[in-house]
Amino acid sequence: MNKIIYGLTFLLLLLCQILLANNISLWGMITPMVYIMFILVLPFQMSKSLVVLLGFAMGISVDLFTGVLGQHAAASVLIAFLRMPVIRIISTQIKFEEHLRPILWDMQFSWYFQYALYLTLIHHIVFFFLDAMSFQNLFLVLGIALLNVMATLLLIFIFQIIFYKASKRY
Amino acid sequence: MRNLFDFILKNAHVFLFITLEIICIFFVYQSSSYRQWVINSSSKEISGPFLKARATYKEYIHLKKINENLQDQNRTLISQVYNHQLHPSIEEKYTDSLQNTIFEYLKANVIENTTHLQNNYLILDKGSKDSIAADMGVISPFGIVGIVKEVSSNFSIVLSLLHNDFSISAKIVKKEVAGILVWDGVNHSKAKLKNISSVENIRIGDTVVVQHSLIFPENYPIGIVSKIDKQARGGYFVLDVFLFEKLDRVNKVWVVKNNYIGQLNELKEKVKNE
Repeated sequence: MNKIIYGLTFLLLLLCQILLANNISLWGMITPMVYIMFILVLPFQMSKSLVVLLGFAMGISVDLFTGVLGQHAAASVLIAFLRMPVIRIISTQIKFEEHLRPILWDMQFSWYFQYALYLTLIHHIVFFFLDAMSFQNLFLVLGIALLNVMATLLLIFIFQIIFYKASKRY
Repeated sequence: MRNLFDFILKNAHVFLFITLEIICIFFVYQSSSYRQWVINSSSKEISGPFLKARATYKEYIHLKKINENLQDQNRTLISQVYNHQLHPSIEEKYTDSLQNTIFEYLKANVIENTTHLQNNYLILDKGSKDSIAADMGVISPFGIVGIVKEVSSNFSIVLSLLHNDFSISAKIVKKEVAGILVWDGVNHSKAKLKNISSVENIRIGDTVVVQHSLIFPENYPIGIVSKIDKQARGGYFVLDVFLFEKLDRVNKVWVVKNNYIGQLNELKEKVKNE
């Protein structure tokens, strides 16, 4: 059952990215990358290798629909790998209760905000510098990355609020 | 030995991460190589239909705007044709009707486009089946858009004007001043015209057009001069060019096919070899 749900999440987020989000071009600068929410919602208990593999699968699927192969994939694999270290840094308790998932309603707002912010920041900065491949327009690229971070975070929070609800204790 | 296996199994995700990351970075860094582009463009055979469906929907929404543009374009074309007939130019007298025209225009739709990156690409819904090939110019009704980088049978990837590797030779109409048009990565509606030798005659609002190009028609409009940098760097001046085509909205384009490109390239090779 869980597998089906995560499979559906994968597909829906991919479709949402390529059919909706890639079409957004605010001031020619902002194109949110909401597909990374898939990596954020994977359960705590999932094996780390599987998370990395799923991150790669998501990234490469998005890459298929844009210019150059590998850009989205590289950034996604990185945050899939860094997810656990980030969780360890921002959490006060070491072990979470079994039924909790890394979603907005299960965690405190500040925890989720940090979690989403750090991973989105890493992803976007890596992505935009992989694209620029030089530090010629350093501050411009950073600025665009930050604007995109805000847009992506906004969308992630909207999605979390609309499509997720707190998990039940079982 | 068993310890080694244990170690690898325990840290499988680290190895997996490093391998996948190397593959991705390799892909990105190889993005200028030919083989990468073949993979890249053939992968569009999978994603193309989705993008096409999306483009159809988008086109429907923007029909009003597209129609307006077409009407404007028709008006200018009609006025050009009728003025032309009244004052036939010398060129027209000597064109041989049996000979091929130099440029053919193949129509195509943009199905994917970015402007927020430093290296932007477009994807078109026509490929080698519609006789599009690499290194052809892409123009829109208002200005130039890019150069075809690689084609698969049904789709093609275009290196946008908004790409760090893009550069063409351009001149200012009636001013005998020419330079190289490049994009500096800052603003998607502005490009830079570099290597200008003098700015004395140039005024803000002068039109910039294509010159000496094998892949774009001569004198095809690009934009207008919006800022003149009076300080010379290394003896040359730089102009800001405001592009006529809004590259974040580009929808219908023509791919420019030069019927003599084979002959020209042969000639070039010959000169090079001698």
